[in-house]
Amino acid sequence: MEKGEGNWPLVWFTALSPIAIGGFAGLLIVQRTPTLGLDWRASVLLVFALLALLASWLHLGRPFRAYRAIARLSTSWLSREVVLFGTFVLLLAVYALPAYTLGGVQRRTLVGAVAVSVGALSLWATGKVYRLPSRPAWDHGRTIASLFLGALGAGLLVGAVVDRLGVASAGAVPTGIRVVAGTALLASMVATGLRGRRPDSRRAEEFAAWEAAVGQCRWILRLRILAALSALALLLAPGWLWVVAWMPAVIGEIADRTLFFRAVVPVSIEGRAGVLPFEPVKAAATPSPRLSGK
Amino acid sequence: MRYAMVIDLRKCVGCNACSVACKQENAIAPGAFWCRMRHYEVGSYPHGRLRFLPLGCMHCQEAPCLESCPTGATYQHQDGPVLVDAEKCMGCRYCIMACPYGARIYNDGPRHPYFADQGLTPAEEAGAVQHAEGAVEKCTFCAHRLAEGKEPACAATCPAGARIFGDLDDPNSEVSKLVTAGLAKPRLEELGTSPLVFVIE
Repeated sequence: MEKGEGNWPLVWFTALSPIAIGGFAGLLIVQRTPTLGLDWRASVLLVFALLALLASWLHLGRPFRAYRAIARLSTSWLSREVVLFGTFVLLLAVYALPAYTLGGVQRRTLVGAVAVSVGALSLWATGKVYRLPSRPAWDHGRTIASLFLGALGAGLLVGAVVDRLGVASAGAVPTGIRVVAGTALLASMVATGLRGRRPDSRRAEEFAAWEAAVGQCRWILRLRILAALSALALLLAPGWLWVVAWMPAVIGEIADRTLFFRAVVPVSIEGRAGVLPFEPVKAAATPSPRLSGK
Repeated sequence: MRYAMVIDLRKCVGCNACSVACKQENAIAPGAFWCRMRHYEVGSYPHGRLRFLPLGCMHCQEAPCLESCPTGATYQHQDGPVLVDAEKCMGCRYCIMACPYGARIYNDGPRHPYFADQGLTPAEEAGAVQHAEGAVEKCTFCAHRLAEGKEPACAATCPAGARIFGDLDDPNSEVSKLVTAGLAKPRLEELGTSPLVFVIE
């Protein structure tokens, strides 16, 4: 069975978009002093979001026809994802504008809240894009859950760190961020560990995906767990060390997305539940003798 | 009218004539196949044998590719075939992921000749312009031949008569009789795609 490919543009998009959304949510939560002028901190997260958009655009075979992507909102989750994430990016850009252009700080806060809500919906849409019966390893609740865990783990951490940019002393991590991000990192570690567990399903495709994950992709699996563990340790450490936790957290997210795309096997047209329509020949228990007689 | 095809695996000898005819009729690029053949070994020595499974677009009536396409490039013709409007396709390849039959391929760049030192033949050059770079393509049931009242090239070529093509809505057609009798069944029926390509095993 064919294994998935790296698909690097989609890896970057599905890693960076939750980080941008979660990061902005984190920034809104912890922002100590709302800025009246241009919110350059939000602009940092806007860069994450624009990089994600750029990655998804570069994935296209014909990028200059991307405007057609919103044509099938009624049936296509990809159309919905494009509209929702695009709206999030737009609202984030609007939020970054000076407060007076929006009519005051309160109105800007409202824009921010709407942006986070739209961002959460876009994560849902992204997850639904990959809930495909043709890819049994993806057609699972964890596909959507992993995106939200990325937003709540790496994303919140990035947002909290961005808030501290330009501040002389980072101080302690806000308790709420520590609890939520720490729980998300722990959950993602457990979820990744469960991927390494042999599936009970008789589905040949799920078994093959597991084999891909623990075989050829084993190093990615280990990197993902190690990165999440490192981020968690730094987050729980006393003092300022939490400020660098975002780096292993982001690495862990990229590893998770890489594993997602590489360790997937399409549904088998030959049959379901690993049962072929005809019984295949079994491999010989002992190798056949060489023709040379040696 | 609904065009449908029945592939009788009892007759298929795996000669790949259908694959070659398809490539020739549709000027498909080297290395790409709209119609491909899977080979299986069945049984064990000394009673082992080969079985063959021709694969291509199933022209599903509940096509996952159609539902997933964000640009509307994938559409279903009123007579059944699922087609791709290359002008609208942006090459996102979501349909390739959505298709459970692996029927779609992505045209990733300029056509290369079979022999590097000989370049493209005039026929290959003429055929290359029919395929949009950066877009997705697949079997069309030879829509251009259907418009002329002909069968798809694969069905017309099959020397074993393993491919039967016809109107599923015509109760007198061989395709309709085979499907109605329960002899011919679709692949991955449980996914609810309702293909218009059936298989007799």
